[in-house]
Amino acid sequence: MFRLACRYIRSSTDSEDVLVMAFTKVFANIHGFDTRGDGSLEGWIRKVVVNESLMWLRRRHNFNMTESIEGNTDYVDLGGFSQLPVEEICRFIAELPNGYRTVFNLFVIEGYNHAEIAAMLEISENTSRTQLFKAKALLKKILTREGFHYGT
Amino acid sequence: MEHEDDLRIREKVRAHEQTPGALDKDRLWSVLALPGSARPAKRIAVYYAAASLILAAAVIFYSLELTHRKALELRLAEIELSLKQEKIPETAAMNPVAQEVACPEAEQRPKPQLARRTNLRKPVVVPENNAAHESTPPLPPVVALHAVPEPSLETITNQAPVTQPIEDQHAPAKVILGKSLSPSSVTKQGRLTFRLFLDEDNKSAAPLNATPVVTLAGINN
Repeated sequence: MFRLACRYIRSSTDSEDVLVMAFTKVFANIHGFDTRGDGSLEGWIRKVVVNESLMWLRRRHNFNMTESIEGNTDYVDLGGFSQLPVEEICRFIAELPNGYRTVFNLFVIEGYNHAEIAAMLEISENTSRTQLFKAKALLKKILTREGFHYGT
Repeated sequence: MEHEDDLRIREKVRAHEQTPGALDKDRLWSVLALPGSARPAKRIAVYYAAASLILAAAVIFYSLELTHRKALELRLAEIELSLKQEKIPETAAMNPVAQEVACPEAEQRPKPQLARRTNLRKPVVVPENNAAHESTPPLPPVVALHAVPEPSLETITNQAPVTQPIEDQHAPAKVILGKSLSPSSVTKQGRLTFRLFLDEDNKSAAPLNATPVVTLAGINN
């Protein structure tokens, strides 16, 4: 869960604070949790940590995610990116700006759709899609800058 | 295609997040430690080093002390040995009184003889011609012991013995205090008189004062 918080909040110290707050809420509401399977508890704790991270980001940073690109967004190929080692992937994701990084984490890694992301971040679905497109484009630029060649 | 790339990235990152991380103790202690205090690990190492130094110093001191003591004992033993060897001629020169003096032969005294038992019952035969025993007084003759007279024989008869049994010869007179057994002791009123002695004929033994009357009503019930 600490690594999860570090993906949203780059500072490890702030990630620790977010983790403490998240687990405080977990222990406070554990009596109301209904176990449904092996992974349900992990998923529930994961949601709590993500929400706590987003709340922290909303208090300290202005996402300013109002810009949106009308029309179809081109497909950004991240095939080479997915074949990198996990440490490199996490390092490149941490280089993204707060808005791009948040939407990328919520969509690609957490698996939320744009409607859910829009509800969580209080933005429109188009803004969510735009942010994701821009995040992938930036990752592609970073890969080129780092010297990773990939081809399609 | 894009979906597959996203799935691949998702699986890698989640697998990496589920891997437990290594615990950095130094960093953890630095976070938990109070400001201005030294790290506990370093402090503990300092304590261990100080304790080991003290222990080593104690061991070294004790071993040195032991060797010094052994050397002292050896030296003392050598000194004692040398003193013993030089002691005899030195004492003779320093103290002439302590020299051994040859004594003249001691006069031989007669050895004391062991005393022997003498049997007084046996008659002592005094030799007549023994001049050595003339000075000793004559021994008294053996006297026979006084014989105990034999008891007279008694014939066995069927008649009863006249004498009182031995038990009653020297027994004190029986005294009954309280109720008397003879019917003459009951007065006309049906009361029992109080007698002191068993023998009713011996009226002199009765008290001078009137006999106290003791009412024992219901005693026979």
